[in-house]
Amino acid sequence: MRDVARFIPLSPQQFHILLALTDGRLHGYGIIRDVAGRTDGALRLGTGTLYTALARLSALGLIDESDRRPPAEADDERRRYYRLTPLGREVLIAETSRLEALVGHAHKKGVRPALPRPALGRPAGSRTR
Amino acid sequence: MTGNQPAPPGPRRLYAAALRLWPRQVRARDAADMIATFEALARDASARGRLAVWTLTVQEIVDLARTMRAARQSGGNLPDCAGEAAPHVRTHPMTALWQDVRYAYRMLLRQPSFALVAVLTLALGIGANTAVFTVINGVLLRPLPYADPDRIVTLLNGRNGRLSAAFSPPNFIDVTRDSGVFTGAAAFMPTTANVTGLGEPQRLDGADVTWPFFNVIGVTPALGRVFTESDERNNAAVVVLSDGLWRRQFGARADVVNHTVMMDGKPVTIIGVTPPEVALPRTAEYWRPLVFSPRDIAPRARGAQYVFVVARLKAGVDLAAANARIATVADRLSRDFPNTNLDRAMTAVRLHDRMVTSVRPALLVLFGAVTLVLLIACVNVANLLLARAHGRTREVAVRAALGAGRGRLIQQFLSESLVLGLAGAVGGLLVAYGRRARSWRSDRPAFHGCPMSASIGR
Repeated sequence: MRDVARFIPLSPQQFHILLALTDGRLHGYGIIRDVAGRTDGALRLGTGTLYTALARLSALGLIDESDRRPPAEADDERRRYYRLTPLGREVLIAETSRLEALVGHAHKKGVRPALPRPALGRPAGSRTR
Repeated sequence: MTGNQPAPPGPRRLYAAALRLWPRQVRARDAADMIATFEALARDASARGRLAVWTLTVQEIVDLARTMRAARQSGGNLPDCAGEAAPHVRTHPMTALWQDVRYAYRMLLRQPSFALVAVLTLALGIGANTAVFTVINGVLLRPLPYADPDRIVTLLNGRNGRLSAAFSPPNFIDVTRDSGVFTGAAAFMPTTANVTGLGEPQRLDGADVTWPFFNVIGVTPALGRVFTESDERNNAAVVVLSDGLWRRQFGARADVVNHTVMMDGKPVTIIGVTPPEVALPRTAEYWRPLVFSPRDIAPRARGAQYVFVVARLKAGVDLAAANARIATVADRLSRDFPNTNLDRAMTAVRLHDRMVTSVRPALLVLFGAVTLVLLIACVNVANLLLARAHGRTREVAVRAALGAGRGRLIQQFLSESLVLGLAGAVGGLLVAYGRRARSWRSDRPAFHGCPMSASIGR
């Protein structure tokens, strides 16, 4: 295992972006839709937030740009497609186990949410980084 | 939901404009993609109505502004910049400004001829303006240094529209008493007197004034007292000195009151000293009581116009109302004394207005002229700066290549202009001060007591 420890903890936005890319390559709009759909609209990434996070993640080597593009009639040449790197996948797994461990500790102490809430989403309507 | 309808153009344009807040390197890579994403989001929102589109637009622009700094920091780490860019040093804006100012100062020292020409040009323009405005401020804008100066008026009279400030004593008494719009009125007459007994004999300008004079203009003496009715009744040989005369001849001694001086060969007792700002008439250095003899106020004397009038309007009476009453009295006098007063119109004007009527147009023309001079100076300096900037394209290119943003470059050039402007302003103040000291230390009393001042009016 490479030195994944130095990448975690991830911010909720980074976590969601990596999660969105597990199914394959996506462009920015696709990531926003994926995250919003998965959190029932609780986490809506702004474009500024998203693209700074993407720049950061690709500088860290957790994602990179994909050269494979959809067929020309469905393509918008302005778009850039991102995919998870192997390192990114490792970091995502490490972060998930970290979170799981945290939740486990809390459960052992009897701390449970009163109502089910969207996983890791900020309070509804929040769009902070 | 990637419908075929186009994204609304307004929000898209706004978004693209806001995107210009972002650093250039990031924009070069991501802007097209971001706009494409925004368009897709906007199309989604437009299905929910125009309000949803605008809400999205505002949210996105706020998000762009908030992440601007993060984007700038990430800009240095971009893979296409090879991660080798120099660490981004953030300087505090004031530090940067100070750097620029010092740099500008050094640049100007290195080109002394340019600096000298520019600063001198500005200094002459600013100096001329300051000097003329100082006089305008002192003469036209500043109110008279007396209590409630807007209520102090002087009276004019005359025939066929030719108005003069000189009244005959009977007319003065009738119009100020019968119009009933004044709390007090005084007549005064500029005089000169030979003063002996103070070393060299001197001839002084002054005025003979009826006793309410100082009460009418609202002056309390700096020393001693001013005239009372008993001075008039007793025909007292007393005099009030100006501050200037007191300082010059008596060394500002406090025991000058009750001292006797010889005026026109007669002993006169000093009873008081005025505050320095009293100058009515403008060159007066002493005031003696003016007592009208029975001959002065006889009906035959109505034709001899030789006293000036100063009066204070009652509270609540404005100038127009006062003039209506004065006109009524003037009509009556015109009927009663046709020999001297036929069609003699009388009117009150504010004392300040009367004092500045003769100089106002000249001063304003002068001010217009020096303003144009300043404009010309500014244009000249602007041309000099333009020519210099043209010669510095290489320097600007180097700075931009080293990472100076557009704002930073503009700040640098503005700092240089700031230094030039400040130097010009300091020079201008010196010019103004020097000019005032030399050419206006003359006998023109209007220009006395016009200190340079940062405030306008009072």
